[in-house]
Amino acid sequence: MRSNWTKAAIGLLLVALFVVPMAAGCGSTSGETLTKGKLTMGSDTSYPPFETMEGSKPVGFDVELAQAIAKKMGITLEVISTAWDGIIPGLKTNKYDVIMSAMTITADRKKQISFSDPYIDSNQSLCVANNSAIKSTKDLNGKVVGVQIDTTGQTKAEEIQTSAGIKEIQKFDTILVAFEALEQGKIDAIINDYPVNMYVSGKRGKTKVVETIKTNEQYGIGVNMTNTKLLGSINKALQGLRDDGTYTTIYTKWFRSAPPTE
Amino acid sequence: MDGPDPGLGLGAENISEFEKPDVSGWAKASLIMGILGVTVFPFVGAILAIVFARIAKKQILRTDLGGDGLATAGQALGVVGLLLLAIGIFILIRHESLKAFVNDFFNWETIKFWWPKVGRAFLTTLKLAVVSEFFILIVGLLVALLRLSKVKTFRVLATIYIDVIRGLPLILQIFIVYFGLFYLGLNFSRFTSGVVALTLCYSAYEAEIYRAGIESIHKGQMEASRSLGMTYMQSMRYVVLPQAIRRVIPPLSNEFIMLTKDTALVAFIGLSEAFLVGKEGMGKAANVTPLVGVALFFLLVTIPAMRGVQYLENRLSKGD
Repeated sequence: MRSNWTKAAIGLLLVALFVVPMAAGCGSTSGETLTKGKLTMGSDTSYPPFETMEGSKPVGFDVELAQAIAKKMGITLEVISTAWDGIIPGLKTNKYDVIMSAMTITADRKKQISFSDPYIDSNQSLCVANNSAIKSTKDLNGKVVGVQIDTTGQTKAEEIQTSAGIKEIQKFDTILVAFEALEQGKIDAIINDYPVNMYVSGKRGKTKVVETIKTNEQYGIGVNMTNTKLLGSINKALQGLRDDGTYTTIYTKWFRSAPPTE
Repeated sequence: MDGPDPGLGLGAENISEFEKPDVSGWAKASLIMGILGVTVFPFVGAILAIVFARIAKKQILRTDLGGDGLATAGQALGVVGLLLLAIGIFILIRHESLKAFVNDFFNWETIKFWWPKVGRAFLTTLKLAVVSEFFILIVGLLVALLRLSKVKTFRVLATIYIDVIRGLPLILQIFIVYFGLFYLGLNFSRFTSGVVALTLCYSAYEAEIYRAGIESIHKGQMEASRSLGMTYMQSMRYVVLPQAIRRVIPPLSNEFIMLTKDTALVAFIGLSEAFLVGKEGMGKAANVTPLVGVALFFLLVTIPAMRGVQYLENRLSKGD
């Protein structure tokens, strides 16, 4: 009986020990960025044309825009490849300064993190294999739709699931794995951001975008809620890039057309 | 009408026949640590008090030293010290950052919504493990027998299979089965791909375990049954394997526990088992609570299983 109490007390104590360091680690940073002179950016680098890895180098619209922002702020940029479904917890636990990963600004996400001013508009789209008979979301009855886990694509698919009669929504860790499944006929369609679907379909040539699903979403740069100083600097830099034409240059380079005027 | 045998020293009146015992140093240390543990050094003192008390008691059992009472007191003080510390931390829980911890790991709203979903998905986890295990036990044994075969080709093929599979990460094998075999015309579903990949992988490991078990059966058994006129297969089937199987049950049971955990990897080809649902919950609820649920479901199965394996080991070793 005595030794059971001892075990219980030790057990309780070990739990408490885990808890105390956790509390201590939740402090916010004192400067603007975690490392002085460097902006670290968490990103799911399997999302072309926004971010992808070319060898060991990250490239993409987000990457270039982030580099320009960092330059405007007078600091350097470091891209930290992060799994998409841990990207927000990573920001909250200060693994990086910002999230720039084609992340749509949503009300739910705003409860977790702050967002910069929107830096690009986007919509969802329906993507199918080249030989598919599916022409729009009306043809999804009994079909399997692939999405990237925890994206606005998943949200959209779930929204229309009952009305469109979607048989199953398969969630993938990265959108590129979903594309592999689509090309092999394991799933019937993908609902995902329009620019990405267009880019990947064009590059790999086995799929096509059949419908733009208008959601009028906007991407923003995620910043830790406690770091209002950094948020301000980023917004300022972003506006500066719009004003001096750098934004237009980068946009045109990646999307072959001028950005829509506000 | 005999009194208690004086040699046993059972009656209290016999104590005087012994010299007054020295007091165990450990017991004294335990009591001191206990006092310090309640007053000055809560955690370290209390832990040391309990540890010293245990050492003291073992020592007292072994030798003639006294001090059992002191050790008990030290241990009790240590426990009290820990409890006081725990209570103190509980009070600290009112502090914001600890509230944040509970909110992130054990969020009540999230538990109510996501843990049932995770639980249902865990049924898929179990199904995947059990179905795979059925095939693994059979294929593993076949591969082991091939590996031990007199025919050189069989031996070589089995060895290549075992080496290649054991040399590749399981997650890679899952992807190859699901996405790679497509180019050979095999388009398995996610569940089937999971079963196939897990079977291929674990059969290789279990083949080696079977082989070790078979080889551990004394050669004399095989020789004796051969000399009785049985063929190689008959000897295997009726004499060697029954004994070998008993020996390999504990390691194979451990492999099954590992298999149960490895089913989580099938999440990466999109199968809705517990881990994938937990990740989805983590994104939607924006806290870690769903994954904590996944962890608890796994422990609910793996920990009893581990104790079960230990029980099996004890039971089986009695027969040897």
